[in-house]
Parts: sequence; structure tokens; C-alpha cells
Amino acid sequence: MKGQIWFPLFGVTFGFCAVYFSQYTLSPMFAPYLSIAVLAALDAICGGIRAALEGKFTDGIFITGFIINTVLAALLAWIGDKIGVDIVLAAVVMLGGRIFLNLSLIRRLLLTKATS
Amino acid sequence: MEHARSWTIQISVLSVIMGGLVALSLKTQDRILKDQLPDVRQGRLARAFVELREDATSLRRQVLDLQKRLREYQLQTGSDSEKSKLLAQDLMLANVLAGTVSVSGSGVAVTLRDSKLAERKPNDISEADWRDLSEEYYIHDRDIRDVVNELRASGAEAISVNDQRVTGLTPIRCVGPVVMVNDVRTAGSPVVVRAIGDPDALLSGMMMTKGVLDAFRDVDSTMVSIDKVKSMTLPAYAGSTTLRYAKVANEVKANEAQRQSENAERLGDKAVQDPQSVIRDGGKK
Repeated sequence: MKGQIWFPLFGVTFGFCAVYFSQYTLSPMFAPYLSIAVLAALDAICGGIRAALEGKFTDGIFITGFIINTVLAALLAWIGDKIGVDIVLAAVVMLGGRIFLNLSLIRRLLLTKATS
Repeated sequence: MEHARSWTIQISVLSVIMGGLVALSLKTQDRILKDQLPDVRQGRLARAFVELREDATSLRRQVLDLQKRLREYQLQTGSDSEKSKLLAQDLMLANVLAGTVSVSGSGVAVTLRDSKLAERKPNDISEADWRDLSEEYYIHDRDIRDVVNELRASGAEAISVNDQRVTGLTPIRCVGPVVMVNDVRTAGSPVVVRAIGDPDALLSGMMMTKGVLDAFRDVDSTMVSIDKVKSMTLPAYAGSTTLRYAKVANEVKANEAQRQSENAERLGDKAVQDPQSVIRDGGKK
């Protein structure tokens, strides 16, 4: 169980290197959507790890959560762009808050596991 | 155990995706910084620009429509009686002169284009020097104005530049690589100046030795081409025709202005006969 915690970290490094050293780039137009997608992914991962540590991990919820969150955030960014209000900030605040919450819970769970 | 493997795989897969997204995001931001793009707002600006341009086009179309309807009304009132028919004819003439109606007729088309020599920079000349030296290979706003002026002097009755009707108040000027005619942007090369009038007179005005186009022929003869046109139609001026400052002068003032103009004319005649006298008298009667 403990060793598995490192897999996501390897994954991040691998994905980063794979894309960073490839020729592939995106149009600057999509830059705001991209950062939202990164946040949604980070949130999903933190949530997933927390659920796993609590032993409540469910297949469907994890993947659908990630996809729906990303789509919703992108949609908000797009609508906000259209009407000139940065609604996307709502998604950023929400996801950011959840990431911190989940991280603190993960920390607590790991600590209690380590001490027990 | 089965359960544990399932979450590891899923989270790891998502981690790979996230790593990729982060890298992609980083690269995009890098590019934005490198290209000096004003990140998000650029898209918004571009969209606003396109919208405004579409607005302007539709408004211009509206102006044209209204002008057309006005002309129809004028014609209709003209058909009532003999007197108003004459009035309507006069009005039509004024419209033609003012450029607010589309007109057809014979004339010439003068095409000006940047010389291809401008792209052939010799290797031993620096970029900055070449910019000065290659000046004459490009069509400038003053060249277009010169051509328009010469066409007018040769008896042109209606003129258009790149299908923008030239009226008595039309500015022609360059803003960077585009030419603004009636505050509408058109291509800076080629520029097509079309004029309705006696084709032969217009042509000879253009071909005059030491005339406006002579300089081009010395530089690169491909920069100018003149064609006689049997029949062409120039568009109507599609801008605002409302006046805010100019008023029709009353009779006394009009007479005085006329007298001034005649005086100036006399002074001009005098200048031709005896140039020294004008300088001596300083324009006094």
C-alpha cells in the first residue's frame, strides 16, 4: 500500500517529460482552458488518493468526477469569456479549496497510519 | 488487493494525463511570453474587432439603403409636375457631383502596385539603409493623391480608389501598409484608381511627360498600368452625409465671398504678367 503512493508521482513525471520534450504545442487561445484542466486533474487525483486511503474508492466516481469537473470548468471559462465575467474564478477557487482540503485529509490519514 | 490495484492504476493514469497537461500548459505559457502575446485578452480583442468591423459593414449598408430610398423619394416627387421634375434633375446632378449615387460611364483604370524590386535586397546593404533606399519601390498615399488630382485636372467626373468613391471631402492616406479612403481600409498594393470621363483626355493626362506617373516609369515600369475602359460603374459614397458646421451662407455674405474670390483671381492674373508686383504690394489692391 505504501509503495503504491509513489506511482502517481512517477506518472506525473512521466507525463510531463513525455509532453515537454515532444514537438506538440497548443494554440495560445486554449491557455486558460488548459490551466483549468490541470486544476481539475489535480483535484481529482487528490480526491482519489484520499478516498483510497479511507478505503472508499469507487471506480465510476473517480473518472466521472474528473471528466465532469473539467468539462464544467471549461464551460464556465467559455461562458465567462463570452459575457465578459471571469466566472472561471469560481471554478479555480472551488477546485483550489478542495485540493487543500483533500491534501490536509491525506496528510492526517497518512500520519495516523504511520503512528498506529 | 484487487481493489487496491484498481485505484493505483486509475490514479496513475490520471497522473500521467495531468503531467502532460502541466507540461503543455507550461509550453503554451512559454510561447505566449516569447511571442509577447497579451495572453487571454488577445482573443477577446480579436473578437471585439471582428464584431465592430461587421457592425461597420452593416451600418454602411444601411446608409446606402437609406440613400437609395431618399433618391427614390426624390424621383417620385419629381414625377409630379414639370417644375419638380426639373428640380429632381438638378438634385440628381448634385448627387452625381457629390458622389452619393453610383454612376457608370467610360473612362480609365489606373493600377498602381508595389515594385517587385523591393524584395530584392542586395546583400551588401544593411536592413535600415535598404528601408530608405527601397522607399521608391512602394506606392504611397501621396502617389494615389497625385493620380486622383491629375485625373481631376484631366476632366474626370467621378473617381474611385479601390472601389471607394472619392468625394469632395474624401481623405486618402496611408496607415502602415493599408490605404485609408473615406476612412475605409483597402489594400496598399495594388491600388486601382478608376475615373469616369473622356478616356483619351484622362489617358493623356496620365501619360504626360514629367507627369505624376513619370517617376514610376523611371523606377520600374511595371508599377503602373493604365487601361481605357468602355463602360464601368463606380459605387456610391457610403459614408455619413450629415453636416454639423457648414451652413448655406446668406446673400450678403455670399456676394462678399464671391468678390474676394474674384479679387484673388485678378491677383493671380497679375502674378502671371508681373510676378514682382505681387510680392511688392503684398496682395493689396
